[in-house]
Amino acid sequence: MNPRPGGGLGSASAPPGDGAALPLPALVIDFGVHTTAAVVVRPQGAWLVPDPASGTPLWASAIHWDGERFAVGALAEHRRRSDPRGFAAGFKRDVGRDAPVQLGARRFRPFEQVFELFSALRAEAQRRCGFELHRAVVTVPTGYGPGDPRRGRLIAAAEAAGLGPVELLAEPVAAACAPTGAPPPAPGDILLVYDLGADFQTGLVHIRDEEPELLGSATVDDWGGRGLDALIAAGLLTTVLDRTVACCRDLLARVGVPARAVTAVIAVGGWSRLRTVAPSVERGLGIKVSRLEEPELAVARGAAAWLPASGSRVIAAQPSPDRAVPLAFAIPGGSARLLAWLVAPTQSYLEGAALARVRLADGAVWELVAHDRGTLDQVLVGPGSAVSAGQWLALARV
Amino acid sequence: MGQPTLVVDFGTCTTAAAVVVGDAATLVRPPATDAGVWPAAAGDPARLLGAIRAEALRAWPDGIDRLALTVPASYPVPDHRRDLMIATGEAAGFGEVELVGEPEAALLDAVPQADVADGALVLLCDLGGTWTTALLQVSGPNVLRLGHETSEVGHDLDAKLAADPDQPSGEWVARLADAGLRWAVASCRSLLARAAAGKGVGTATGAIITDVSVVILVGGWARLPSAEEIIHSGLQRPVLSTAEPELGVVRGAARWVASAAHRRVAADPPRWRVESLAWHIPGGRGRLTAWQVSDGQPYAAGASLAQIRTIDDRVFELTAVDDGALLGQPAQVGDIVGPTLVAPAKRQASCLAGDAPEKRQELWAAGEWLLTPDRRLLVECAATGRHVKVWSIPDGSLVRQFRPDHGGVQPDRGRVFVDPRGRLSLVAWDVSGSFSVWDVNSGRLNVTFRDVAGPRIVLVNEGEWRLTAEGDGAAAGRYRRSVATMWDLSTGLRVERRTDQYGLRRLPGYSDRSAVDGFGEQAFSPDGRLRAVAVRDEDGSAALALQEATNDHEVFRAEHAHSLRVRMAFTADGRFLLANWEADQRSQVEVWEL
Repeated sequence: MNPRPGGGLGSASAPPGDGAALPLPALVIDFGVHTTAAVVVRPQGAWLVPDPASGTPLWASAIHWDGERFAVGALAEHRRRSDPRGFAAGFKRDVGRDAPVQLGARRFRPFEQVFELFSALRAEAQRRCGFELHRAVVTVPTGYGPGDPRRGRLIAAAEAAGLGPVELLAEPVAAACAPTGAPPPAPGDILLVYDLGADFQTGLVHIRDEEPELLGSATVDDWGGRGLDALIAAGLLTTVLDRTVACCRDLLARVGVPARAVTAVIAVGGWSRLRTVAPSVERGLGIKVSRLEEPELAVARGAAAWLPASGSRVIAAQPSPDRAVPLAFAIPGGSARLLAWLVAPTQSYLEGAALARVRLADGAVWELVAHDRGTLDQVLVGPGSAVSAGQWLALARV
Repeated sequence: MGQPTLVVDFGTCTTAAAVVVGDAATLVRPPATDAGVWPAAAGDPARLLGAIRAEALRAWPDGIDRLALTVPASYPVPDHRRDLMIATGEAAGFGEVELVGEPEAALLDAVPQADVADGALVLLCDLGGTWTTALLQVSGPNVLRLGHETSEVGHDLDAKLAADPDQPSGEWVARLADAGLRWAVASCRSLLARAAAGKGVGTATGAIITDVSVVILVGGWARLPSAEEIIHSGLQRPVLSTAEPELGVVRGAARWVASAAHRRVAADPPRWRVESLAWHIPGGRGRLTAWQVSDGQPYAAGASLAQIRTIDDRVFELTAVDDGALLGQPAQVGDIVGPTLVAPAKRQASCLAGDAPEKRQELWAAGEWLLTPDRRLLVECAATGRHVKVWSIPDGSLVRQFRPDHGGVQPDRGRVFVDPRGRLSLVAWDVSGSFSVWDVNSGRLNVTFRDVAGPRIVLVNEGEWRLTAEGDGAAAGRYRRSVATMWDLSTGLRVERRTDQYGLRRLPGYSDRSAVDGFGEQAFSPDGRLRAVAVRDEDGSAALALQEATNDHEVFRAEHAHSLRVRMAFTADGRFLLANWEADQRSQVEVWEL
């Protein structure tokens, strides 16, 4: 990993796909409420994609609609001055909603606004790289848990922007992988990510041999009706830090990890630049804080470092054992619910033996019996599942 | 001795229960009473079920794990009330709960007395708490329900009886019951009419009332003196009333439980040319996001066949290790899959070399064989044209048989052709030149015509649906000149007659056997991986060689001594290889499963 902030992209001579089984090349996007960072990741290295209007690696998470086309990032902010009605920012907070927002004479849903931002990131990345990008990793807050519709919205927006297939990565995991200038964490280390950005989130990350694991996370997004930015601007930083430290302590207690077991605190997010943050956190938690030079880029850089190390995305088919045959049945009525397997994997059975029991739609219970003698190799459908005629329910050796 | 099963018939007014062990059923009676039935569940079936179970366990202390509950005809499939009944049984501690339709159970109770044959139609009148009529059909050991109707007459009678218990045979009973029984008669006729019109399941299309073997009466109100009389006079069919009719459903359900051995379905025979591709999903499960290869499509080693998204939103490609062809997509895009996703694939063609295909069928005929153009059915045509048989390829069963009625004048020759609309047609003729053209499916005689020349050579153009017959014309000196006549097979009219040297024999598109026959001199499997070709053995007899299409490597050979000719084909699904061996007087078809 050799991030080069502010452009300076490498040669585009290597063809896309030279990452073999790795999911590369890909575009990493750290989509924030205020700012967004993007990194092109290839086997040869990773390069930040700067905003062409400002030249900085942080793009404003903003769009502007002038009635004909969108402007994104710094250009959108620039056009806001002359046409504020076409401007939108902070739409990450609304990504789970469908209510459209008026921009000039038209209305755009949050999904469409994210799509425009991602499209612009991809277009700029491709323009600088010279090859197309068809894979992406988007970092997401820990509050976007499994099944959260916002995950699906972000995936859909990125895929609609031509970045499919799109993966998601929890922001604390990405931050834990960010290069710090110090020796990288060793397997077994536990890192506490302290992310003080537009909101506060913390995550406890266990560095394993294969990949980092998020042991737990917590967020503070309710600041008593005022935003985090407003509180800090109002000089209430101490109050903010007290709450964040308490949140970290609660997390450690909930997960059951004592503070002394934590290797380091990784402080990320724009507000962690403040000089008083690291000492306060060290004092409050009793854990050394690793400070990063550009903490607002740590998540993007960490995700770019995580991606090549996260392993292959190819699952090769397992060769079937000799004479492995599927077990399928002409179930009366076409469908049923599997009640139980009557033989277990590796167990042998004779011709005509009852292998499983199903309940038909009308409530009758039928037995599924063996056509030939054999040995059950692998059960493909578990009890309680709906099954249909001709469906492979198990593999057997005969 | 099998495991005991508790059978419970929850009725509107009473509940009946029995325990079935093997073939024997024993009624479970309420304790400390002489009654044969329990009270109705009255809104708390779980409690009543618990009481019945406790009583049953006094006689079967080792435990009863199975429960069969009867379910009213009015509960459709699926229906949440069925799920509720199953849940009630499981909550009561039964490991396995199944449901039995009340009409089906009632019929099974009456079967020993009714002596109904397989396929017979039976009408059922269940005159219990809810009156139900049902039209049933016996199908082997099972019962098909072709239709049913319900009425609340039983409730009304029970309510009247409860309000006026001293006059059970009073005038009001007769009046209400007579009206209800007339409803039952009308309902039975209506059920039969609907089934006869071909609506619903079963094979009662065109049935009339005399096709009904028996009318069965069950339920407590079947004891009414007028019941049997009104039903019989209204339907004019034999009526069977069983003893203790309020127990008919539970007795039948017990018989149903005892016949569990019939409710078994054997695994499909294994297909040796199929192998499984198994992918273990990281994290145990994921969502299928795409299939990259469609059904039947070949793929190369390393190709991505599908794509999944794991629960932590990582995207994986599911790849093949070897070349192959996908035989099916076991899940749909969007489905949750795992921990293992298994897809069917074809084994490599070279596997055949060490694992010869199994011969499934051998069929002989004193005539000729044709494989339908869709390569799904085999057609046997007697050389005399006196019968045509259509055979199923997978199991060798006779699908259809057609013996044309030639009116006592039997033809000498016959062949099957395919008309321009794709229908199988038998063209039969005799030495005198009498031709007849038959539709094989319907058995209809389409046209006849007479060619006085006495045909020696008969050719058919299936596209134009015309026939040329060449025979001997009138003598001219020492010579007898050939005469060729063209006939329109749609109308039976003569189109053209020629007496020149070549006649009509050289016209394009005319052939002595079907040009769209699925059998050919060589054949390619639908996926293009295999080619079947005719070869000669050292003794000169015909043989069939199966080769890999890409490199001509022979993977299988079939020989047939004394055959002069072999034609071959693959079925449309590529599952079977067929060879048609022909000798002087016999023609044989062999079928191998690939």
